[in-house]
Amino acid sequence: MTSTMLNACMRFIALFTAALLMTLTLSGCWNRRELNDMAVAIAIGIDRVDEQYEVTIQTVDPSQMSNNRNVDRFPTRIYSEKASTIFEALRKVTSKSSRKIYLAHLLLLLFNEEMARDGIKEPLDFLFRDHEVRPDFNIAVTRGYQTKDVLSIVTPLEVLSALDLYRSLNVSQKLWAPTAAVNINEMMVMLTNDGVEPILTGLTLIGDLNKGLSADNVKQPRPYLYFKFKGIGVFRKDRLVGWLNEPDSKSFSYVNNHVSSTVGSVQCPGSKKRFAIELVKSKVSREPSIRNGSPHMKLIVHVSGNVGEVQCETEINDKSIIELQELASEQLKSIIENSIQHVQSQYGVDIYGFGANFHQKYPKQWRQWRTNWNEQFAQMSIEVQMDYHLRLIGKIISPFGNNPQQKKE
Amino acid sequence: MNKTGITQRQATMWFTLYQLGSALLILPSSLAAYSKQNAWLSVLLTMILFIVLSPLFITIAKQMGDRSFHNYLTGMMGNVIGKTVMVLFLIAFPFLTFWLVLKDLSNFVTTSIFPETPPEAVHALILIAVVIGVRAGVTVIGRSAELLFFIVILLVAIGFLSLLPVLRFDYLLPMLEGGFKPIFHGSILLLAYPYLECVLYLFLVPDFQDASKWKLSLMKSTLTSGMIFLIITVTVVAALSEGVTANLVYPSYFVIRTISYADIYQRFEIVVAILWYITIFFRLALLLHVVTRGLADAINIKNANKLVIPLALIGFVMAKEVLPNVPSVITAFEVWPYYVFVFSLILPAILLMLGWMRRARGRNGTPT
Repeated sequence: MTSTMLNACMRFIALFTAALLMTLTLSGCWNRRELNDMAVAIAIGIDRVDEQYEVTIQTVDPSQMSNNRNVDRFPTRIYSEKASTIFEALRKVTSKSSRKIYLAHLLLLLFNEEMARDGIKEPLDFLFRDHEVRPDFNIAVTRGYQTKDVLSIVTPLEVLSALDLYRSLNVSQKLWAPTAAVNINEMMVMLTNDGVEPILTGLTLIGDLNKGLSADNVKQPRPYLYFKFKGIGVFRKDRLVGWLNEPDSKSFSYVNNHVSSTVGSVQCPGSKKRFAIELVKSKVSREPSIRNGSPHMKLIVHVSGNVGEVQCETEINDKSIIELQELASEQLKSIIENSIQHVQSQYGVDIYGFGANFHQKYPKQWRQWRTNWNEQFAQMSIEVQMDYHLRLIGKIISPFGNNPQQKKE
Repeated sequence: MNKTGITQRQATMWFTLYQLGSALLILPSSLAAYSKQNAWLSVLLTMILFIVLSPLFITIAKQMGDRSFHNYLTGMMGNVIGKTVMVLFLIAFPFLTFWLVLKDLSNFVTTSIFPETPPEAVHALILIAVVIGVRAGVTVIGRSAELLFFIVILLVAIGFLSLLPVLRFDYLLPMLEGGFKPIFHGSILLLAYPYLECVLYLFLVPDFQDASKWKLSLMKSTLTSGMIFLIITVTVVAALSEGVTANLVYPSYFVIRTISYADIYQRFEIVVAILWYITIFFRLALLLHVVTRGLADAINIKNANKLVIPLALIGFVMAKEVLPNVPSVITAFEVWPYYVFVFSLILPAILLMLGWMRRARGRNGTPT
């Protein structure tokens, strides 16, 4: 009897000790981070300032994100530090802030133009190496302004300006097209792989810088200062060499199948007025081939669009829509051809990644081309074949104000 | 009798988890470094090479019958040489691997998840689990393999199948660009690590309820883990491209971090860490089991369980000391296959020849 009692007792003590030990080990590890010790960074800007990096971080003030927030305090905080490496600069910030910077929720990384022309490989190394950073944030290059200024502006639609920038970039790539929402993962692919050169979208500010940095900027419907994503930057290796204008940027988005929808206008047949087309589907397929020993690229553009706005005098019927379709098709074809020619003659770098297509199809020839691929690209002949369809015409048939019944009489 | 030992199903699952072990995280990187976009062909070639080499191990298992590996070895080589070879083999191969695997685990955890946690804490926690497992015996480990196997499959499916929409299969082209040699080089790597470590499964032959099922476990587990390796390699290379994959230390983990759909379905890279912990447990458990049983036989200790804790403690110390830094791990990994061949190909080949010679000499002697 006593021995079983003793056994039960021992068992209980053993279980109790085990449970106690578990609570000790399960409560956390060395690396626990309390939420109120962290400053969550949502955007980083890197400026080149006299051989050093000036790193600007936009962090979120958590108490200002709740519903009963204090209106006088701003929800974001900007910290800025100079150092010769990014890592040092980030840690230096702790001398200005009571919290350690937490990078896992980073949305946006900005370089100023000088940094981009200097090469972005080195500043990117830290962001890949660090364990906290997730490979899903977007990158852009600021044009004409330091990233510090861009990150400091007060934007109207979101309380966090970085979130506004991030959303705007992704929406504009989807719905307007002359921008490219490049995330860090795609950047890494473009930097490491043969036969493709990187691109990054440009970001600029428009308006009065000094007034735009205060909360007054959003106290009126028309802000003093606003941001705008503008053009696509062309890189040779990791260095920025120039910018594409809007039509060329748009054409780049077509060729690389980034467009999910956009709007373009075309001149009416027989008049100076224009009609607008909303593209709803666009896909460009590539057919690399070899002609007389040199590379030749055939692009087949499959597009379908809807008539969105008509200024023309002509009626819309089955004949005229074919005419409009032809015009639109011709125009898109020339835009794509011209823009590729621009890139070929002006920069001579293969931002479209045609090289990778040749590498995949003609590995043997590629071995001869790969060392001077950009020269091959600059001289390559391009052929564009269109497959353009106009489908819908909207809620009215003929241009607004025309009465089809009257004309028939 | 049906309570002790392991069933063929349990062993298959255990071996599969063992093979997935360390290679799961780093394999795509080291394969892409050699065979670039054709990394997946290396996996296929490894399977073929293994099937070609497997009769070597299957014949040995047959020759062993119901003897333990130690008895088989001493039977072949005589008591003194057999025991010496046994001890040397255990220290130079499974025990060394045990240290390296522990080190691998803490390197990953401290690089990717908890940078400030001391590696000793990582080592100690998993060692406690492994010691409990090994002391409890193969039956318990076999049953837990049965339980956790499907969790591993589920996690692999969740993690890697959710990459399907972003895969760009043109990253896998052109095929056979650098010729056959780099693919062969890559498959040598995978063959040695972990497939030829199957020489260690020979220690488990006497634990099988039906020893003739050993070869089934071997082949089934190899094909299962080969399929998983194939899926992982294809998804990682098709999602990241070979150039990026080759420069990552833990590509399988990184690739899961890139998943983000609709800003909701994202940030579950920790499933890879869970996968890695489960598979590493079975790897460590098998290695420690082999070293314990082998050493106990070689130095005539009746109760092998007495050796488990001392050996684990030696492992705890050596894991910290065995390799000083991460680049040395990468360098060591380059020569590792050729080192492994000594124990996993040359030794079994010698044993096999000795076995045939004995049989030829003593046709009328002991039946094999």
